[in-house]
Amino acid sequence: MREIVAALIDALGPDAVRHQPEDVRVYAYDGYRSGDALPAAAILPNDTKDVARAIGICREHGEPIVARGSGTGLCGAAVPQHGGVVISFARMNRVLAIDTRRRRARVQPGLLNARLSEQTKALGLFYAPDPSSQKISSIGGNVGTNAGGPHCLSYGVTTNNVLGLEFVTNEGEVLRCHQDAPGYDLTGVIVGSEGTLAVVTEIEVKLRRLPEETRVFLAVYDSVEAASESVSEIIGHGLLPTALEMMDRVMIRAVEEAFHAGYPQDAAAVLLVEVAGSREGTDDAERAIARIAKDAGALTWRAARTQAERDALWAARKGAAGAIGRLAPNYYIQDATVPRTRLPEALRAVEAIAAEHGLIVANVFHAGDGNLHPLLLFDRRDPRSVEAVVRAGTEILKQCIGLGGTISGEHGIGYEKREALPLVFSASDLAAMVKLRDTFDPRQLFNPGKIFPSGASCHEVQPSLARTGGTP
Amino acid sequence: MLTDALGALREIADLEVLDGDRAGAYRIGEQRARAAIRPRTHEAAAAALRAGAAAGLAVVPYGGGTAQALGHPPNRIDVVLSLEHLRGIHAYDPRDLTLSVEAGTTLAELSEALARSGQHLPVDAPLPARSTIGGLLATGHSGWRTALYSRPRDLLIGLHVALADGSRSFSGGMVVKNVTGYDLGKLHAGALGTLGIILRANFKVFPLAPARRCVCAPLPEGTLPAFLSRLDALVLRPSAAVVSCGWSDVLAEEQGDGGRIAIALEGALGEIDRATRELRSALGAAGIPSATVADGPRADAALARLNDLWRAEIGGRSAAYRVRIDDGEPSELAARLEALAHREGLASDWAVDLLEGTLLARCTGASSHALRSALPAWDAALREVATDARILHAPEALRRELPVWGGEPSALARMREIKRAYDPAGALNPGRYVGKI
Repeated sequence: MREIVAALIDALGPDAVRHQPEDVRVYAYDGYRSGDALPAAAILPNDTKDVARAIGICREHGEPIVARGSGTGLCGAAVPQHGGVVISFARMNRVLAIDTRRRRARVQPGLLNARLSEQTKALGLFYAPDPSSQKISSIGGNVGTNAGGPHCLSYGVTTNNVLGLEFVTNEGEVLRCHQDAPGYDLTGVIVGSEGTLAVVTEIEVKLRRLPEETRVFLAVYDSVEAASESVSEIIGHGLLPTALEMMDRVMIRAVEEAFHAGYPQDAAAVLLVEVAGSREGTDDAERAIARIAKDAGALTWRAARTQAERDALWAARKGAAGAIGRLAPNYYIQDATVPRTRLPEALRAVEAIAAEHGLIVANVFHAGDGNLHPLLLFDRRDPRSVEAVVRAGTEILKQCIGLGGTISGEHGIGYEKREALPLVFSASDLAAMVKLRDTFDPRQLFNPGKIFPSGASCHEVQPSLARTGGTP
Repeated sequence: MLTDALGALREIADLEVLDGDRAGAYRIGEQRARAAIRPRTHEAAAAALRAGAAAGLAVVPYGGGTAQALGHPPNRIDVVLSLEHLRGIHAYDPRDLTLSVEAGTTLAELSEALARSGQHLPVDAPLPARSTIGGLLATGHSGWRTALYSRPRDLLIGLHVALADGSRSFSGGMVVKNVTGYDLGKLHAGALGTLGIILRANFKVFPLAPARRCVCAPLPEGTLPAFLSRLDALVLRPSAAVVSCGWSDVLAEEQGDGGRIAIALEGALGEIDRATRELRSALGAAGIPSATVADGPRADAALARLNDLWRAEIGGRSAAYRVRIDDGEPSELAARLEALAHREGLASDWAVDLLEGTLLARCTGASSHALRSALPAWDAALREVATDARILHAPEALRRELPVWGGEPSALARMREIKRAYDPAGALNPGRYVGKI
């Protein structure tokens, strides 16, 4: 047994430490890839003190520390690239306090996203960020990646919904920060830092009042072009629905076959539109959006009449990536954002790039935010298709940058896109970011090898993609 | 030394260098600047910081000058860096609902330009004709509509900054959803220019609500708790709900024994009509009899007056505090603080954000001497109940001795390390920030 394992067992007890290869293997992957190395151990702390003790031990032994939520991330951020110790928050999964008056809650990082809204529903409140993985992804993991979701269009992403944090430093010190407390906004920089600055042990989040009225509509189009024009028009008219999602033909078919939710299989594109608020407000929004959609060429505009119908449409949308398993053994989901007026061009570019590489692409994405998610279908047993997917993915990113966009809207940089970061930021921009990392973690023990380019050559990316599964 | 350094600064293209009386027009609290520089380009701003670092100058960034009494008095002021020439909209496509604006642009200029497209940047700032975008971000100001629109840091989507070593840093982008790289914009927002000088900011903007309304009423003593329980049940969440007491230098609205309440509503006309009906009935049920309603520009003006409370100084004899209240009812605390002020012979005005639980309190002495002798006792009493109370303005002598930023944050050592990393010589706004960073 390695010395560090013995030290961790000594500090946390044998029940909180996994170290056999067959036990730690499950902590070596995320939704993007499996790591090259297995972690020396995975620990399951019961409280913040356990986390602080474990970090102290890792520091003494010079072992990397990788905080992990549910492993649903899509950029390799949670993969222990250089081995070390994985901290799983599966046992720190409670809601600690709810303040209904000020609409806030304090939670532990291992709490599953959907659980929080379930627990606050009776109080008439909900937690807004809702990544598609919300039934299994944890709020701590969401904090790490600054996760988004369909409803971020009107409620903001994770960082806009996190008020304060308790975190453990690289020295094992337990500190607190709050976005409204005097001093530098550490909350703002730790959220989205993918575990490279600190290990978060408690999160204070905003809650919102459940709307009086929620309406969901389906607009059907005979071209992706017309659907994306609709999106530009809706936003351009200053209308902000609570969600505005698009799916193209390939995606609609896969989803409908898997879920039978009522999406029209012959449509070239659909928009899923949700408006929520007061009855009067939703009436106005519905009228205005329906008119714009029809003017922009919607063939039909249909309201989901019942709660069950609404739930089915949403369940199918959130399960879309999984449904792609029906079409190809593997898919590579890309995540880029463009200014919303550039959506039609971006989608044309995606289609052209896929065609050029002989790939099938399925689109399902947060159109209202300009956040694209093309899924490139491939078979990892075919090296040529892997190569084509890698090339096409990079070309899509470059096109989006050219349209004034960026390389990740919500999935993160992690391992996957670290070499692409210089496409967006200059050396001096990156130096300013690295400076921050070095103040928090000069020895780079927190999640090393993530976010920032390594200087390593791009061929490393390719074999990693070849190991990608079909996990959304 | 300063003369030599100014010589070097005069060599920089697109940089205006002022000294003598023209520099003295820039005031930092009660001190006047001996020299000031005004870059016309981002390059000039960065070059000036590089030259300043070489000469060991202390640089104080300066927007509209409305918040220069914030924080500790600076340890040193060699040169003021004014953003006054860096103004205007850099990029704006209303159909994208995004905006890129130079730091020296005033909020009033920006609001006017956005309003032409039916949009706004929902930042509630005092003195909008003077307050600049860079200054509002750097001071971390958040106003009465925070519950609805969040804080300015949440509207920020990209930031251009000049660092102390003369390099420039950009983070974020021009899209509304972005997790590419560290979110350094949030580090600079609220950092009072101690980590870098904000040059340009990108924001997401919002459509102006078609209908805006402000419902005001004088508040009879003891009626607030009954109203608060009903406020939570309103279908349309107000964009602001403020109880204020005093402020006769700014507000003319009638007040009762418990002050006055102002509730701002935004939305579609139908929904704010309904919200007004519900609100009137909630006010009535709580024993608050008469409410007046202002619409459109009159509602905007009522909110603007409330915004000005944040900077309402009374010539050298007032001090204002911002207090975040996590437990208990802010208005009860306000009443307690008022009684304490009267005990110390100070006049007191206060305002409470009922949605966020933030308290703004101002104490005024009969003279600056009276304030100087009475405020420390009031300050100490306040800190027994609110450890994070911070001073928004106060005469310099008081800011030298009182805990301006409230209690030390638990992460202060980490903050000092961040300051050392970005500004090792302590050149930017030295001594003014939390922990005298």
